[in-house]
Amino acid sequence: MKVWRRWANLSVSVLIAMAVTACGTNQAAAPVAPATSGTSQKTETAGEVEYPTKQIEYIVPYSAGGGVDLVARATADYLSKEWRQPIVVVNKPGGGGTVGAEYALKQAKNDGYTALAVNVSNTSMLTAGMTNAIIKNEDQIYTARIGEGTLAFVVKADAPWNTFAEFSEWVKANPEQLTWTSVGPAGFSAFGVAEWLQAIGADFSKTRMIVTKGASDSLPKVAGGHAVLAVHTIGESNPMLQAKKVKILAVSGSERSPFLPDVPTAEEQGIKGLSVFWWTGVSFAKGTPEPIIHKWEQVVEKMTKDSAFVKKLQEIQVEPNYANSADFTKAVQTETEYYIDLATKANMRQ
Amino acid sequence: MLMAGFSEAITPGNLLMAALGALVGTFVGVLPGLGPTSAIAILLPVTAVLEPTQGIIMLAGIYYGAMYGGSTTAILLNIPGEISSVPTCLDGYPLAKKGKGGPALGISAIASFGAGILGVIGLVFFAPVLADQALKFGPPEYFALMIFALTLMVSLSGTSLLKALLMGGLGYTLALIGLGPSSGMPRFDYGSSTLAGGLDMISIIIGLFAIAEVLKGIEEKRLTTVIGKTGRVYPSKADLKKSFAPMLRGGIIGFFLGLLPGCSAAISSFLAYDMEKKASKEPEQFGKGAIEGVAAPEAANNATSSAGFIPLFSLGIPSSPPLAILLAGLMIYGLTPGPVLFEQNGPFVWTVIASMFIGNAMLLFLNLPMVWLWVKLTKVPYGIMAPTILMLCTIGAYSVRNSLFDVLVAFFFGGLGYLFQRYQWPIVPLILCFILGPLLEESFIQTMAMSSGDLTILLERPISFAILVGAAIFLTISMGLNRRTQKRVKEEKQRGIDVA
Amino acid sequence: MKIPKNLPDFVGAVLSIVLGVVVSIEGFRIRSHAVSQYTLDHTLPAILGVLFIVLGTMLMISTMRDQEHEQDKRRTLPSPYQNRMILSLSTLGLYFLMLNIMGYLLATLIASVLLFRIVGTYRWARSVACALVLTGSLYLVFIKWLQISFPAGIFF
Repeated sequence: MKVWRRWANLSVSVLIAMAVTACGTNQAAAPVAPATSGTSQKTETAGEVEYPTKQIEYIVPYSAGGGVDLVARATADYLSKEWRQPIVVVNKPGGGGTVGAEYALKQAKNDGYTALAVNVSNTSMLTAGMTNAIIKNEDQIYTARIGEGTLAFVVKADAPWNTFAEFSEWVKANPEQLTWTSVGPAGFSAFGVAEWLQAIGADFSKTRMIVTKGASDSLPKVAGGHAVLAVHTIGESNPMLQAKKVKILAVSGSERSPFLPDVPTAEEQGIKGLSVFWWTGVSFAKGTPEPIIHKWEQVVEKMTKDSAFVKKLQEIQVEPNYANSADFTKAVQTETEYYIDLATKANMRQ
Repeated sequence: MLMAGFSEAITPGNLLMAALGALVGTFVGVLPGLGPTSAIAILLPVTAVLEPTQGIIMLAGIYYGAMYGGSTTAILLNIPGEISSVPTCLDGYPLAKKGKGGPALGISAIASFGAGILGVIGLVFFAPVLADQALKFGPPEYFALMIFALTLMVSLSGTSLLKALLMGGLGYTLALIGLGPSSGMPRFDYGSSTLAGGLDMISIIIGLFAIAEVLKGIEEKRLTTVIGKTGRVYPSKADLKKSFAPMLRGGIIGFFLGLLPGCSAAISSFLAYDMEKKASKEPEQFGKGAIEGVAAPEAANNATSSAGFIPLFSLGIPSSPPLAILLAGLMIYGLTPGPVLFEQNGPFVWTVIASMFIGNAMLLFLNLPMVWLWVKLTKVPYGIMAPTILMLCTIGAYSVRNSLFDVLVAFFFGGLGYLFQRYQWPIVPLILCFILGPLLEESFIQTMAMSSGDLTILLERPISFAILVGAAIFLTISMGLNRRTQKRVKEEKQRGIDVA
Repeated sequence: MKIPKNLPDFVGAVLSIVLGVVVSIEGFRIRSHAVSQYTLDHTLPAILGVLFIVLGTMLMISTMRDQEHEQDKRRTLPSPYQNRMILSLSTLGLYFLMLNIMGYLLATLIASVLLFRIVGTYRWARSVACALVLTGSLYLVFIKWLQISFPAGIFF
């Protein structure tokens, strides 16, 4: 019986959504204040701006099922209920996250009805990895950071090293024997490895990168002994860890991860300065009206305190970490400069 | 435990979800271009309002249903819903043209059912052991496997090996467009960021098969989709007897390849089709409507899909795009795959596995009567059917990546596919290389990185060595068979019979 | 120069050789991106370029002495309905342009009216009726129910 009630609810909500969208489309050009330099006053009254009045497209520049996608789906779910407007997640994969980003930031209208899911790979690391990246920080307004993930150093379950310190010593002595996986020379893992090798003073250029399609491709290779090291977020590594096929030698960051309280941080083992971490958030094309940005900031802040949403993130091992537009933008800019420096030293920049 | 799962799975609510999922999945899968991947991605939000158990049961139903739906259009309209249905087209469509569409659909339903059950049994009894073995497959082994699969080109080449090789090269060239695997820099992009995003396989298939077929139909001024009588709806005993062994072989091949992460259903269904052609006493019948040519790839296809649940449940590795989305579904419900899933959510897992059995059975019972309906569909006037198919193709091409560029690609390849067919350039090698090329290149680059550029690693590792030897043997047999077939074609031609 | 006996294949061979040159040039260009000595984005494209040129040349030679061209010629005779096919293909091209300009619904409506008229040779009134039904059902199933988001046009 419960099932039927759910279906009834669903169809009713679909009908309502239809009615609302049908009305909404007539007033497509919603009365939104234009973004001018003197918007400080308007920002205070931003709560009153009539937004959203129609469906919002939430562009995820990756295939369905990854971390960015899951966070975006949870967000869209929450916002649909909060705003009573459909937020549709649209996956536009390709080009390492640039195809969808280019669509959302450059081709779509900057009227606040096309949001982009961003993460570390299609922003700061992209800019750092390429001298002439297609998408730059200036193209977008970083609106709100939603969550972050801690980096984990993963090796085969029966590998001879039991601590990260031991492993680092071995790598320092035998850099030519270290093979590590990454989606490419400017991938997330590559920055993690480069930073770590720089911290322990090992020769990055002697190690070998094995290019993979992502965590679901690279972790089996590490577990099967075809590569020595993989660097992924805890969420990505967790299934194989639970299956006892791999072990995690260390996590980055200054504190232990709440998801893996038994795994020490790299810092505890005397390796300092590992700061690469994964984050995801939302951004809009430049020129998007400021009241809309402000509205998103508010709702994301509220969302990251919502217990149901936080629980959803925990299930995929992502920690909520809200930052407003100003802080978020600053953090990304600092990070970009740091990564450019790192990439230049490791000769990863193209 | 499985019994407990069964008793849970046959509660009316759960049964309803399985049936609904299978039905909706079949419906979406029948639409050109909307294969399991799109079906699950599109329907994921719909299932999110259900309880976890029911939601996952429904998703599994959708998965199986969409797989089957793709074969239906492959047989009746020469439109593969998913890449793995391409081999089904090769013999299914000629059968439908001969008026044997009903039996072909029936065999495909039975083969899917049998192989699906085989896969689920494997999942129940051997999941952890098999998952372990699959990890032994590293880059050199994958490279050898791809080389093996590429030898298929020789036997699928049709009349001219030279043309087949050129088409294969073209397929690989098309796959090259986009980001290079090792550097991450775009290749063949010529400054366009759209091209840097690469071409999508589905839109190319929609163009080469579906749109080209419709264009051909328009030119021939067909009255309905299938010329000739529909014939009987259910397969005859002789058909069943003929297909039994191919189903079994296809199922086994599909099952083992399905364990390997990254080895998609497309590869196993192509391999199964080819094996059957080699094992057959009359290989020249293949491509002209051999019922074995439907049974083997369908069985392989479904066995691979079922076997894919083994690495997914026991290691959390999705081995194909639809499974990756299914994984997302699991994670949305807060279920992390891995052995812990069995320990922590035991009842849930067994319920899902039990409902896979039920979903497979339900698919058979839903679809055998529906065969009649599908066959009726081919009697709709072509003037109505052709525009409808073209519009559905547009949506199918668009929905994969939500990109209008893909629609243009589909239209372009529609025109190109028409020319290829007319001047007898085989399309299958093109598709095979489009799928295999990037996998081959990636595993090649990985292998080289592992061995510091030393090729002998391929011969030093026992598994890859064995596969390469197998490839060499198969290549020799294929060449021999090919020569024999060509000789026969020539003989027939001399007798004045048109054999094309 | 001798006229090749199998002209379509000859054209195909020439195109293959051209493609081979294009692929080789691109392979050469990518070489500069190679980041380390083992990562080889250009290796397979380079092999492919050579392959195209060699196989294309072989095919070209074989077209010069093709014995079976008579039969092929018969098979490739144009059909009396070829115009209709070309018109349909052009409609698809137009459809793509319209999709970009006027959004999904209107473009689909216009394109399907044209297709029903060309393929089914129905009268205008019937074509429009069919097109309305088709567009309506596509809209309900895909946009309303499955929530595929198509580009919005100037009218919708």
